[in-house]
Amino acid sequence: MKLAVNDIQAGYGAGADVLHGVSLTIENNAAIGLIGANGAGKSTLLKVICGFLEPRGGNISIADWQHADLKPHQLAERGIGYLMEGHSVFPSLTVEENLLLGTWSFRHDRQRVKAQIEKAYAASPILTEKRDVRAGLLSGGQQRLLELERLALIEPSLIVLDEPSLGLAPKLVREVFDRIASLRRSGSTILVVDQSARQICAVCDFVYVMRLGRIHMSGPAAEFGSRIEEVVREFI
Amino acid sequence: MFTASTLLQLTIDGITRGAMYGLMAAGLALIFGIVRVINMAHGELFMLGAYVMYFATAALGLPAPVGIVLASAMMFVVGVAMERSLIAPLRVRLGDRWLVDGYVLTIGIMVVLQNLALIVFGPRERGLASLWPGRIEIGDIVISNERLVILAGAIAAMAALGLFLSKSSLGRAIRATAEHPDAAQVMGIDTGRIYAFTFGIGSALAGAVGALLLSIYPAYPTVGGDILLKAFVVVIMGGLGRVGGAMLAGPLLGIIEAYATAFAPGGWQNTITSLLVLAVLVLRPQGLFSRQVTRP
Repeated sequence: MKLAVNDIQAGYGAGADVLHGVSLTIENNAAIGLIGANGAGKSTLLKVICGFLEPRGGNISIADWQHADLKPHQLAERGIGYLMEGHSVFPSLTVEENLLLGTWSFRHDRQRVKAQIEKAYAASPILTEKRDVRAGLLSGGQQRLLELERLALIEPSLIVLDEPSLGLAPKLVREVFDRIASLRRSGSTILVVDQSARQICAVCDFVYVMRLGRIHMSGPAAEFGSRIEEVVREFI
Repeated sequence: MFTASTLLQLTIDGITRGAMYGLMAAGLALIFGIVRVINMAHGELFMLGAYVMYFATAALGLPAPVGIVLASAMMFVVGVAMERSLIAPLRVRLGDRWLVDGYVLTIGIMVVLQNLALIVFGPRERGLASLWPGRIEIGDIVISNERLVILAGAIAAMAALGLFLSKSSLGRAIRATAEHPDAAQVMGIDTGRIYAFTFGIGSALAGAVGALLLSIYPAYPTVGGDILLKAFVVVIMGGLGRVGGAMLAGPLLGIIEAYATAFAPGGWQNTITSLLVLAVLVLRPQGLFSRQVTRP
């Protein structure tokens, strides 16, 4: 689905603004990358989009509805999948229970629940072996895969990812981005924040660079790809 | 002078008494573990449950099981209303730093409920003679039917709560909300409703215990204080916020109390309980039955 962010200002508590009027647009089924130094406001922007932080100004429209006043769980019901910063598995619940929670919005449709969970196991077979293991005992990479499969269960129309590769070994980083690419092929629109600028350019069509709470520059990923090192060195 | 059957008798009495502590504490632990409120008004929910039972059976002449169901259903409603009207607004305003405020708020609720009860019901104790007269004798061991019913009620309630939390999708959502409220919201779970529902379940447990114990503890406005203290001891023994731990620690405390009453001089019972709490806090602050699962 299409996402339009218009002139968003936001901050925490009584603190100063972290975002000073951020605008960006994502067309349906596009994949957008967002890069920037620590403190540029990337995570804050994602929190606003996913309903965890109320903006002080500006507005967001998603598909044909306005985002204002919707709570995170209502946005999830409307098909927004959010991979939060840091780990977000339920550690003392098993892998299977974590996946079942991902089907909460259609839990009464047992057949669909069963089919979707089978799909998740097929996409990440390692989780099949670990289905009865407590999620907190999985390795960091396995937890990340579980988080991705869990958010894919609702077949989200928009997937918002906050640093999916953080703390993962290079091989796993590729695996995670491959999974993100496959989620896009199955119809999801993607917005991803990551430190791995090279992977972002490989998966995304368009890249925004944020700096100090503003969009600093933007352009097609193909153009960025060739001079990404330079951009990273200069601005990040 | 203490024979095997005396010890067995003490153990059975202790387990019966402790099962009630466990049920009270399970509600307290559930509310603390999920809603993050140290519910100082939990004893007053017990007190109100006892009054509901009294009026249902003594005044309206309803059968005792109906009285118990009525007491828990009404306390469920009271708990949900308390969470929605007083606790939820406070949480929204304060975010994460609200543990102390929730504590003070429920002390306020406790005082208000006690005084309301005093105005409405008066200071008089309202109790019942035994609801289930008679007793069973096996050799030297005597168990009153009353205690058997109480024990059976407690076991049934604990089993139902355990099954609900571990097997149902709502129970799973409650556990998820306890572990990572933000991630639970991302799953589409309305955590506000989970908090209200959980508070209701915990309150219903307190109401059920108040009703079950009416023939032993008559209802009066401040009857909840003593049992609240025991429930806190059990919660600490079982591990803060751990429902399963509370269910196990309750009977354990009951047995210890029964033995202390029999073997130690009078008045030592509460001292021994307090020492036990200190020992748990110093030696095993995570609780006696706790298992840690860490997040790498």
